[in-house]
Amino acid sequence: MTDFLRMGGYAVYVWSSYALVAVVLAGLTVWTVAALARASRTLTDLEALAPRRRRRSSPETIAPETVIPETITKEAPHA
Amino acid sequence: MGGGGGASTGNGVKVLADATLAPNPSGGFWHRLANPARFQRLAGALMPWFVLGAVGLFASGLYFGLIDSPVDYQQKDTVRIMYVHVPAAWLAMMSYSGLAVAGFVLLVWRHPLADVAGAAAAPIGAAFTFLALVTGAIWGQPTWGTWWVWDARLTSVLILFFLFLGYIAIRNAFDERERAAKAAAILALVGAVNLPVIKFSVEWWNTLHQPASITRLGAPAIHPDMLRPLLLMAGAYLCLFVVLLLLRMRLELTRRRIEALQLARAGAAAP
Repeated sequence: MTDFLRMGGYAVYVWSSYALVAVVLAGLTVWTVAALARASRTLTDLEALAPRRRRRSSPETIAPETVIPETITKEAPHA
Repeated sequence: MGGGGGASTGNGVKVLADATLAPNPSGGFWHRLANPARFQRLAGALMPWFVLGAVGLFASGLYFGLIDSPVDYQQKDTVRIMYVHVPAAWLAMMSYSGLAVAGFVLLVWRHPLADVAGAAAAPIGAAFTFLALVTGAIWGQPTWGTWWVWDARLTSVLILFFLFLGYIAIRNAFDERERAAKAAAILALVGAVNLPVIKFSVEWWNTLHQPASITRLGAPAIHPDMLRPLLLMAGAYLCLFVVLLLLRMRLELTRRRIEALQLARAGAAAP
């Protein structure tokens, strides 16, 4: 085991290389996934507020008291 | 592009309404893929396979690279750095090729996903280039006695790194998305001349960096026990690249949809 860690005396070079690769690639992945999660949440919030124009529900399925964007008093949090 | 399309707002930003971008269902594969919703479905179906591939290949690559492979008679254990350095360099060049192709597709065919792909790939390519440069330097110190030398290979890969950064900077420099996309595409294409320079630098010039031992005519001049971890790690990097690319493309499409919705809300709320 100690031979493995020593890497023939080149431990600092070999392990720092592998560690750097791990940190950079893992960091890139985490950053991407986190940004995507954040953006997806924002998109869900926005889509919940604004009824999609093209998906026109028939008038009888929209209750008269359905809130339309202009009457929303609580502002959505901005991204 | 195709039917439907979107509206242009005053400042020139195109509002992409994905379901009204009704592509011709009998159109070609790439044409149908232009529909973001359809692309998302395909990406979602592919993703798990590439995640599995990445996990499996990293596990086996690291096992063979660090444990079950011989030392080099000259480099000793520092040869293990090659198993993370060489694949990073390969992915760096592959990423930039993708950027150049995306730029070409954008400028010639105006495929709507071309810019999305370019925006997604650039940071990944920059990361791999950075890793190639730094792991190479770490390898160089015990082997060559120097962290850096301005030889043709190292210098041209450093230029590649700056090209990635430049691509990202140009995309962020313009307010109008279409203009940003075109400018970045042109940079990507112009910078593509660097790729053959990198590839052939070790042949055209006297370099400290060693000549090609794998990607060359004739059999690879490398022992199979060393080629194995090298190819496994290359496969792992490639799978990770695909996963990150698809995630970042989804991120970019999500951001554009958010922008479209916010513009629409601002338009509706305007007195």
